[in-house]
Amino acid sequence: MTNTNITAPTPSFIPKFGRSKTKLRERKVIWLVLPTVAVLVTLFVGGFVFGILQSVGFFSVIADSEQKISLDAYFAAFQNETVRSGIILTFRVAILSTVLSTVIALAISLMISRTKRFQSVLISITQFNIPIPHVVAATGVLLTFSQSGIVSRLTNHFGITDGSSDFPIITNDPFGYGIIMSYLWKEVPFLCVLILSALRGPVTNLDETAKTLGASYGFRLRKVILPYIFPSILSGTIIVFAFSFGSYEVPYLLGEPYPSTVSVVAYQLYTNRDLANRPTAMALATITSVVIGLLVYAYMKLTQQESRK
Amino acid sequence: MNTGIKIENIEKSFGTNPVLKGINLEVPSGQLVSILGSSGCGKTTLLRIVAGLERATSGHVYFDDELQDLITVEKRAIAMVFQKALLFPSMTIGENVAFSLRASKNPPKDIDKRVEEMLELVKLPGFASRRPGELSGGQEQRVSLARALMRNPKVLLLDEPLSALDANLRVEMRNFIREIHDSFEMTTLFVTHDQEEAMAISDKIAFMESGVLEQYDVPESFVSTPESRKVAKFFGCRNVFPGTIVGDTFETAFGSLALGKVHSRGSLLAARQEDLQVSLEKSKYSFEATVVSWQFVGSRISIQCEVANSSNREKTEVIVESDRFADFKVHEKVFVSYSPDRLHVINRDN
Amino acid sequence: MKLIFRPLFLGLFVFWVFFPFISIIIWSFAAGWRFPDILPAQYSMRGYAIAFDPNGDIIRGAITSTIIALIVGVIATAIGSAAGRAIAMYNFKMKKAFQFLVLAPLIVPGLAVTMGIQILFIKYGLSDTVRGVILAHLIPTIPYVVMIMSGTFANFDRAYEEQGQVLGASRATVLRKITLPIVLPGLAVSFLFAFVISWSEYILTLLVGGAAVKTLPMVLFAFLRGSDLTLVGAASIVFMIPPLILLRFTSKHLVGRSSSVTGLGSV
Repeated sequence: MTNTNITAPTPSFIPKFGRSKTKLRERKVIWLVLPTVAVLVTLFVGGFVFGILQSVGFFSVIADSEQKISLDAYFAAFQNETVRSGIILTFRVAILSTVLSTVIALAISLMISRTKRFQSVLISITQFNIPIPHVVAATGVLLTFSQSGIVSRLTNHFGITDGSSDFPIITNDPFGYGIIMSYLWKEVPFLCVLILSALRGPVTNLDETAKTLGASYGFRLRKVILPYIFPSILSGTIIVFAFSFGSYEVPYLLGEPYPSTVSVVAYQLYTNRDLANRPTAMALATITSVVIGLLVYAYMKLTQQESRK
Repeated sequence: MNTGIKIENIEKSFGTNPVLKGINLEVPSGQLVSILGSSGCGKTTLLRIVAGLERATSGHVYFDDELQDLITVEKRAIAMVFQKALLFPSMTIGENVAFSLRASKNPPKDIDKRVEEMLELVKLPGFASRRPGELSGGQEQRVSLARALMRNPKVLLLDEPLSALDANLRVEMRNFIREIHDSFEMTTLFVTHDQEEAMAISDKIAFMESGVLEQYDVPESFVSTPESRKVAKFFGCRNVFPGTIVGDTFETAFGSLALGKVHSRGSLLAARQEDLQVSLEKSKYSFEATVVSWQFVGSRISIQCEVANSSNREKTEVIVESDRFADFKVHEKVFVSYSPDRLHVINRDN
Repeated sequence: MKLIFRPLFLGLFVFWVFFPFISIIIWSFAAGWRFPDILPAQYSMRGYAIAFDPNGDIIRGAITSTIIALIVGVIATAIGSAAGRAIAMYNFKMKKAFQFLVLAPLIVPGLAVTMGIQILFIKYGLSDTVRGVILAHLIPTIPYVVMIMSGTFANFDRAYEEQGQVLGASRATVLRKITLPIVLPGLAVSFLFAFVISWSEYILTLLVGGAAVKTLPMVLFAFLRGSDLTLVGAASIVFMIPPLILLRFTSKHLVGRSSSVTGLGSV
């Protein structure tokens, strides 16, 4: 049996190639798994748990002999105007970024997969953004779309706007346009790489078969291609959403100081001179994590029903 | 279903690599023609060009005198079955089979009934609600066939559909394919590397090697009258002797053999090993040889003999296959007898 | 009409990919660029002179970032590959729990977790150290490696290893000479992701490293708060170079029939 090295996007981590997975030698598996478990449990789970503990009052850094364990921090968070506006802004930015980037990436990927000439050039171009740090992306958006940015200068030159203040404010703006633009610029290529990989796999054989059965492109897309690459799209959107929701760098650079997204707000609270805000920061972080987790769970459940149809 | 296929001067190169070098082939309507050859001979590429999945570098394909070159795959009146069944994993068996109907502009109203009928035809009744992962290899191929037939094509194309199946299943399935072909009366092109398969079910065989169509004929011709050394070798003839025609004999390096049929030209003689015999006595048409070795081949025996060339410098090897028990010994001098009618002079020189 | 639709769209896409760089590049060469000029009145290499100054913050930040990212890349790839192999090729108790553990850092914001763990870091003296930063960077990077490598190992035919064993090779030799070359593309992509994530990481470094560990993102952030956009431009260009070099070496593995990125498609 030869390994033909063709990948299949698997709907779970379990491979579909029928290689026997040995249950024996569990001792050996433990060694493979242990380092990851050690790192993630201590740092990640530990961090998460400690965050929750701090949010309810443990390890209070206030020089206070009383250790009050309560949910006060959570109430404080919800009553905090900055936090509330921040949550709304974050939802808006995250959902818009995710939806737009998925749609655009899907369209671009499908177009690229159908293009024969220059296909490899196009694929290289989509990969180009991936190693670019988000900070640079944000810088680029800032320098391009700010009121003194290159676009503004061009519109001013051609008489569309009159002076820098006539140019619309789309960076460091209350809606979050700048943030969304920066996210899109990085997230679309990321999703394209995922989707293009999926499109190159065994689905091409299925597509050929469908062609020989007389199906038009639209029909094949709906019935063969999209159902097949759906798991890849799904994971991609989840990662993109979670990132858009929880990122710090981009909203910090492209958003307004107030209100800003939840991560920025949390950090502001955390580093605030009034140490009583620490638990509130932790509470906000915990809320954020839980919210994202729930949304992801709901999204997966909904789309699993879809794919079962 | 009266569609003949005409393949006219098809050439195909991948980059600088020529894969098909001028193929001309006409398939009469309603016939089952096998495209036979070993790996890399170009047979799959040719089939894909007929299907429209590949574009020929030059040349044309006609279905019933209708030029197909500019017609895309989806619109050609074909259906294709591949080596892997390639059932759509997100659909049930029934949905798979119904695919071509749903994909068409006006799907008929009684799809479910038709699907069930088709599944019964391929001997999988009631499978409509099952899923691809639940079926065996042979069952999957039958579904693939059903799915293709559902399209009611003028031309059925099969690309090594049985290669992935077990040996005994292959025999069953190839007969099944022939049955289906006969009842639908569609023109069928069947690509395979398995000689036995091609011989068993084809009306005609198109034998290809290295991008060239070597011979296109009814199955028996490949055995009795191979048209080139390559064909002779592929179809198992192990004795191919160079020489010249002189009147009604063929002069080889080791002697002259009487020819039964009239041959006008050619410099190679094919003598099938099973048409030769070894005996201790001379006969009307025979020549002397020495036994070198012999072994069992299934229930027969294969005898390697040597004949001294007239120039006495070299020896020619002659293989004889017989169902008689070896009543001779190694190094024994024997006589190899032949029947002049069974000898065939190959017209072409390669 | 249909014929121009696709090239137009793709052309726009290509333009959009490169567009933000235009302003960065121009700024990096500008000697002051006042509004409303379309192009700078004067050019200078000042930005780059400062950027490439061996004693300057940028180069020092770059070195720090490189060291950290390389170490994080190697550790994350090593640890994550082992875990990816376990997931793809074995069944074990608590496997689903493990998979969940591995995926969770992709969903939970790193900031939340790091804020929580900082107490421990301070207590164990990891705060304000490079060691601490490296540890913190492992959190977002290991999950990516695990996913990529589990995709790679899912396509890996164990028969190759068995063949080696049957020919008398030790486990170590099998690993080195048989397995590693086959999964190398996946490892390359994993390293790329881990390196780039660590290289770009800001807030985690800020929290854990404080003022003591100055990586390049932190230097860049400081400049962004200032008004010297020429320096920002030059620093940004410097910031982009090592990741792009890395991409050059691994790009053929990112998309293709044997792509390991499909591992990311298996949440």
